[in-house]
Order: sequence, then C-alpha cells, then structure tokens
Amino acid sequence: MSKSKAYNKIIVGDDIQHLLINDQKTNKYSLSKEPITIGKERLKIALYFFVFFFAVFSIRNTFLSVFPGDVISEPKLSLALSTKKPLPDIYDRTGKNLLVTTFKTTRAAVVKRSSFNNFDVHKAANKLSPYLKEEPKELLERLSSGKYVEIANDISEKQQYDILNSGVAEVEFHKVWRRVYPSKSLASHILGHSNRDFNQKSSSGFERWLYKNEIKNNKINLSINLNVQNHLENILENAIAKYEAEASFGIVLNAKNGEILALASFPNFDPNTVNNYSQSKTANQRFNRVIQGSYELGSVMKIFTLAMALEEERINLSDEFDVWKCINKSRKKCLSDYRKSKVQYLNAAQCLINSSNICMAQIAHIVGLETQKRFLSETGLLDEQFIELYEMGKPSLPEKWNELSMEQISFGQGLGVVPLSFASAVAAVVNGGYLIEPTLYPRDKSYKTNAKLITSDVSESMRYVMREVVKNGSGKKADVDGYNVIGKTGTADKPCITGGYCGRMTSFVGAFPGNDPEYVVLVSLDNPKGKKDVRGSSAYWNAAPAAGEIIRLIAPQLNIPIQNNFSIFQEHARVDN
Amino acid sequence: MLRISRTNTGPVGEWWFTVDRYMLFGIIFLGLSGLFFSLAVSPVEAGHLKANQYYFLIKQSVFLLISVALMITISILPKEFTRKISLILFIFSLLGVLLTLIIGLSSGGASRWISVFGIITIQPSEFLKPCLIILSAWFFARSKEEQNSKYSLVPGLLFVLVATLLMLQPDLGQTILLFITILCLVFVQGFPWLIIAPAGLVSMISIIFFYFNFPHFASRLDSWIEIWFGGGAANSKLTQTQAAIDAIENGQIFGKGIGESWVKYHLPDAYTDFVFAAIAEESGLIVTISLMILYLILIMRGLIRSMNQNNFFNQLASSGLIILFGLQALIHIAVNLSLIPAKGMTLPFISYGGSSLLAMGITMGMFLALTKKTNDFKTPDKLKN
Repeated sequence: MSKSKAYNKIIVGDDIQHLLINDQKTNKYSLSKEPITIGKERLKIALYFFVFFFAVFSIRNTFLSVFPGDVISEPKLSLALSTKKPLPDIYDRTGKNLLVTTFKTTRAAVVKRSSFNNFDVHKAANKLSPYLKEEPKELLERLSSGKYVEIANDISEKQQYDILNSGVAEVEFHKVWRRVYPSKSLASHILGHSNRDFNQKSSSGFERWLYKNEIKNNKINLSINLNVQNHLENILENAIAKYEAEASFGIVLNAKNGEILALASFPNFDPNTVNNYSQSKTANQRFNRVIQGSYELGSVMKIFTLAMALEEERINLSDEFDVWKCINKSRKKCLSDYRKSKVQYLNAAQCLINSSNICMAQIAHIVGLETQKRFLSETGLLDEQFIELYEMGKPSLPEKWNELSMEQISFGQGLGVVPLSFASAVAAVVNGGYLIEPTLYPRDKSYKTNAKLITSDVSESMRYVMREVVKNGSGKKADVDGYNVIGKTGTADKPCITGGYCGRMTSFVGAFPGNDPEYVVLVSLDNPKGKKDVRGSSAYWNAAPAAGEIIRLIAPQLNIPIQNNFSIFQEHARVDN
Repeated sequence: MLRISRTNTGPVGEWWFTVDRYMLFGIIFLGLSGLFFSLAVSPVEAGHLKANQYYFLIKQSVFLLISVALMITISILPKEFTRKISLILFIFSLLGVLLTLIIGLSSGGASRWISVFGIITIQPSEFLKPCLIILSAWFFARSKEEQNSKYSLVPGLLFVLVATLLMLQPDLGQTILLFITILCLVFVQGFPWLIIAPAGLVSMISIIFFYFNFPHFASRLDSWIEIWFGGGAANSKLTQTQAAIDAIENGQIFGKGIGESWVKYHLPDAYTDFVFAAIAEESGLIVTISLMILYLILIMRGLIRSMNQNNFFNQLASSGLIILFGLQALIHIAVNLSLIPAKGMTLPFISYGGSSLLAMGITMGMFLALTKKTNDFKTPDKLKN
C-alpha cells in the first residue's frame, strides 16, 4: 500500500516526475515497476509496430501499383460476353468456304440482386413457365437453386418479348457470342467444338487451339480444302455402309509441304450440337482416329522396311529372298505369308508387291535391330506428332524391342503408329526423301524442308515399286487412269484388349501422281466384312477401291495434269525385271 | 468569427483548450475525404440496389454529421463520464447483439443487424468494441491500484462473453479484432512477457482450429493462400481478394480517375470492406500512401498522447481506443492488399456504414475526452481511500 500512499501525497503543482524517479530508485529490482512507466514503454513498442506495419503496407501497395501484374479478373469474364467479336471466323484454303463463324444471340437469366429480398420464386415460376415450355415445378426448382439462374439460351426476339411481358422483373437478357458451324459435321474432327464460354474446358480440335493460344485474328484460313474434305468424308461414310465396317478414317496430305487438305474420322459428330450429349455417350464420335488413335497398320509398314534397307545400301531391289524359308525363332509355328508365293525366290521389289512377311523379316535381319529403331525414329513414327490440335495420341511401342518385335515391325505388327504420323512418313518416302511436318495452316509456295529421310534415288525406287503394287499387285483397285497412282495395301489383325488378335484393319496408303507425288492419301477401315460383290475382307477389296475413288474425284480438282505413262520413271529404276 | 478566450472557463472553452485539436481535425478531415470517395464508390452499389446514385452520399453525410457531433459531445463531457457511458452502452449493445441472434437481419450468411422501427438498421456489435475496452481498462487499472489481480480476470470474462455472442452471429473479424485489442491492453498494462508469448501460441492454435471447423473461414484462407502461393490461377474463381488486388494494380500510380475505374464493380463490398482497393483504383498509389500516412500520424499522435497520461486508467483506456482505431485501419488495409485473409473490416471514418461511423465517433470521442490536458489526480475516486 506504500505506493497508493505516495499518490495520496501528491497535490496539484507537485513535481510528479521527481517522485516517480524516486519511487523507481527504491524499487529498482522489484517486479512492480510503476505501471504508467511500463505502459509508456510498451506503448512505444506498439507505436513501432504500427510504423512497421504501415511501412510494409506502403511497400506492398507500391509494388502492386508500380509493377502491376496481369489484371486477372478481366479474362475471367466469359469470352462469350465480350463486346468485340471474341474469336475469328474460320475459312478453308480457298477462302470462300466458311467453316466456323460467330453469331450473337440472347440469353435470358433470372438474377437475384440483394435488393430483391422479397423475390417470390413461386410467382415467377408460374409466370415464366408457359413461355419457357417448362413445368412450373421444375422451373421452381431451378429458380430456387441460386442467385443467377439461366432460364433460356439462344432465344429469338419474339421469345424475348414474351418473357419480358411475363412480368418477372428479375429476368435479365445478355447478348452472348455463339460459335456456329455451317457445314455441320463436315471437318468436325479438325474444327472440333466449342463450349459456351469459349474456354478450353470441354472443347476440342482447332477451336481449343484458338482458346489456348488466345488467337484473336479476324479471320483464319486453314489448309483444308472443303471439296476434298467433302469427297473424303462421303467415301469414308459410304465405305462403312458398303463394307459393314465399324469405323473408318482417312487423310489427304500435301506430300511436299505437309498441308493437311482433308482429314476425317468416322463416326463423327456435329459440333453445333455435340455438347448437348454427354461425353461418355459420344466418346466414339468424338474420338479422332487419325490423330488420337495408334494402330498396327500392317503391310503398309513394309514400305519403311524396304526403304530402310535400300537407304542403308544393304540390299538391291534385285536381291532375291527365299520366301519358303521357315522363320520360327521364338515362335511356335513358321512365319507365314498372307498368300503363299508360288515361286520360292522373290527379289526385293517382288517381296513388296507380293507383300511377303517372310521376305520382310529376312530384310529386317539383314539391316538389324538398331538400324530399324533409328530409321523409324527418323521417320517420326516413334514420337508424338505435332500439329495445331491438342488431342495428339502417342504411338504404342513394343514393350521390348527384341528380334521378335523387329521381325513383326518389319511387316507392320507390334508397333502402333498414329495415322497422321504414318501418312507424313510415307510422304517423306515418296517425295524424294524430304521429311515434312503436317500442318493445318496453308504454307507458302516457297516452303521447303531440307531434312532428308532417304536419298532421292531410293525414293524413286520406292515409287517404282509402289507403282508396281498398284499396277499389278494388291492395290489394283486403287488405280486411276492418268494419275499413275502409287501405293501399298495393308491388312492387319487388330490386337484385342484381352490379348491376341480379333478383327481386321485394312488400309491403303497411296500417292499421286506417281512420278512426282503431290498428295498422299491414306484410307483405313476398321473391321470391314466381305460379302456378295465384295468377296474378301482384305484391303484389296475395300480400302484400295475407296482410296481409288477418292483420288479419282479429287485429282482433277487439285489441278493434277493427266499423265499417260510411267516411262520417265522406269529408266531410272534400279531394277532388272 | 467565433473566438474562444483562454480565460473562458465554461465547458466548451475548457474543452477547446484541453482537447487534442489536431486529432479532432484530422478525424474530421478523414471523414470528409471518406465522403469524397463515397461519391465515386457509392454509384456502384446504388446501381446494384437501383437507388438514387447519391443515396449513399446523402446517407453517409448524415451519419458523418451525427458521428462528429457525437464525438465532440462525448469529448466535452468530463473524463469520468466515459466509464459511465461505456457501461450503459455496453449493456445496451450486449442486449442488441442478443436481439440480432433472435430477430436479426441476415446478410451474407451472418445475422449482425437489427432494424430499429424499420427505418435504420444498426449493428450493435460495433458499439460493443469501445465499451469493452473502456471497461477492461477500468478493471485492469483497478487491479493495479488495489494490488489485487482478481480484478484483471473480469476483462477476460467480459471478452469471453462478447466473443461467444459474436461467434454466434458469426462475426469472426470483429472477434479477432477485439481479441487482439484486449491482448494489446494486457500487454500495455504490464503483463509479463512470459505470459504474452504463450498467448500468441494459443491464437495460432485457434486459427488452425477455425480453419478446420468453419468452412466459411477456411475458404477465405484458401483463396488468400492461392493468391500468394500461386497454384491454379486458371481454375480459381474470382475471389474478393483477387478483385481487390486487381483494383489496386489497375489503379497504378495516379489512378484511373474518379469514376473511371471498372474493377470496383467486381468488388463485392467496394463501399465498405474493400473501400481501400476502390480508392486505390480511382485515385492511385499517391492517394493511398497519403491516406496511410494520415492514419499513421493520427495513430502515432494518439499513442504519444496516451503515453504521456499520468493516470493509469486514462493511459490504458485511451491507448486501447487508439489501438482499436489503428488496428481496424491496419486490418482493413492488410485485407485489401491481400496480406491477410479476407475479413469484413471497415476502414474507420471512410467506409460507408452508419453503425461503423457512429461507433467510431463514440470511440474517438471517448479518446479525446480521456486525453484532455486536465489534472487527473482529482478524478479517480478509488485512489482516495
């Protein structure tokens, strides 16, 4: 109580400070320092704290204001609501045919602002239901679900007028952009589809490419030729019906610069409406076989085995191989050919023309495993392909690349390749040996690649042999008068998910005109069947004629001059039969 | 011109020469600049409510007038009155808070307001804060004077009572603000460091507890963490905090100009809890820095004034009030700068809001009353035993 007594002594005018100092001196080590003094000290600390925090805030504020980052909230606004046209219209390479355009439509929504506390949901549901053709009960449920409830999309002016007159004040109308695909399902696997907010989520194809790269040009021309695309799709669609196939796909590729002229996969979808259906239900339609799939294409792969051996100068086209030989290393049975050769010895060119597995296995052995690997990786078949689409699939490589898989790969099994990669690799074989990069954008006429896969001599030899395939071999039905079509058929057993093989996949890869190929065509059918006028189910009976039909229709449109002989070619061919 | 003679011994004259006039004018200046900013910000909300675009300006002006009048009146009253006023006000606002739990108007998931005769809505919890501080300071001072530490338990109990009521609303922001202010009082009144350190630990633990038990709180903390540590800007939805940052960044150094800003339209509470960001977008860095300096000067002056009090209760109570004022500004700015998770906290005298303005008027009125330059030793009657 001594301290309170000390206070009692103080009267107005006293020197308090003196007393306080005295007091402190006497209790120098006591815990009970004068509370006012302690308070003063601690308030000083509090003051420093405030100064410190305000300094920190000023620094933070300065950083934010002087070095502003991206204002994130703006792009968060749906592109569909922007005032300017948010996405470019897309045209084909001729610039005349519209593929995708953007329209403005009206969207109606019930928005509950904070001021509308007395918003009567029941009344609103009853008033709106006749105009929306929806049961009041369902509408009520929807309206009660949130603060912003969209009630109608893409409404006409008449509908807007009706809804306005329904007397529900909370309805707001928004002008929104919408993508429209006038050619419907045509080229749908290139264009893909968009969603209503124009973002990457649940969009596909070139549309997704646009969003992801924020391309905002006014107009885009693709390398697609809509006429060619139309022919390709018609024939592929007909082929499914004609040969009772499960699916089909095809591609027309410029052999010299890699422009994709047409690319189709069936079944396909209508991008205008595809988002109305669930992902899982339309998965088969949405699947782009040309770029997302990876398939064992079969005998068409023999092109690479022969080209590789010629390029490595390990064989000549005239070298003969024993096609009756039993190759049964690490196999239960001897390797067999699709059709057993009548003669025992075939030269390398005949091996490809007759599509002999036994012969190809032998060539692979001559070239060797490492060279095969290197050559195939040079073709780009072992890597992911790049084009302006994000759905690219990956090739399925063999688990172990041993001698057995080397043999299999030599005739087209055990290695799943992405069809687009395959087509561009074939283009490199036939175009004089130049590796090309497929693209959806048109390329300049002056475009040229210098990366070489094989020499032009080997390329010429390959063209000769592939011409023979179409002229006298399994590709006969793909021949079109005047265009010297070159190519190769392939009939592959489809690997089952459960193991083993089930069903077939037939393909024809070709190029025209044969002496200097401008375009590569690939057509594949999934599990076609033979019946009546179509006697077999091999590529000879379905893929080849389909490809021939396509070439017959598109070649004149692509301004390919008609050539009647293959003579220039024969002179240079290094073959003597 | 009105002149007050130094020899005037009437209450007004005495007040004029003893009150901290700089503080008084500083606060009035703050309130006027708040009005100016509300000119720009209020059309946003008025647009939302489809009201007259000057609706908020008019309302704010009226409340500011009442608030300043309240402040001056309270500061004129003798120092002893602050305790009486706060005791009465404390009881009333406690009842008010209880009422909000029963008949409260809810907004944004919390019921904090009660409607008075259906004309104005008030938020009683705003008035609880200064009263609780005065009462706490009272008991702390008494425990020191009587060397009886039992008294210092009373503020703790009062705080628990108030915090429970606030958390029932729920109003986490106010609870945390009060908690920190009471902690500051405890600190200032001379609590040993040994006890202050564990208190910090407890608050850490309670934050973690809240995070896992209050989804509202957790989502805000999450959005804040997301902004600071990146991670999926693409899939994060536009949060309040992000909008505030955008507004500040959009303002840059000189601002977009009055009425020229657009991010403020994304701010959910551009006129209350995010007024700082809205000002930053409108007027830019220079104005916000000036504003912060003004606040800092007021806080520093207030703290120095409290330091120099030679009555323990006055020191404690006035410092508590100025710390409340300072902390509220601090938290508001920190939230706007996205330095701490979003909490509903108004910027004193600038944010729109009747209750907040009136309560701040009362707070600063009490502060001014307590820090008047009068001889204190005749007042604390308890010392005369």
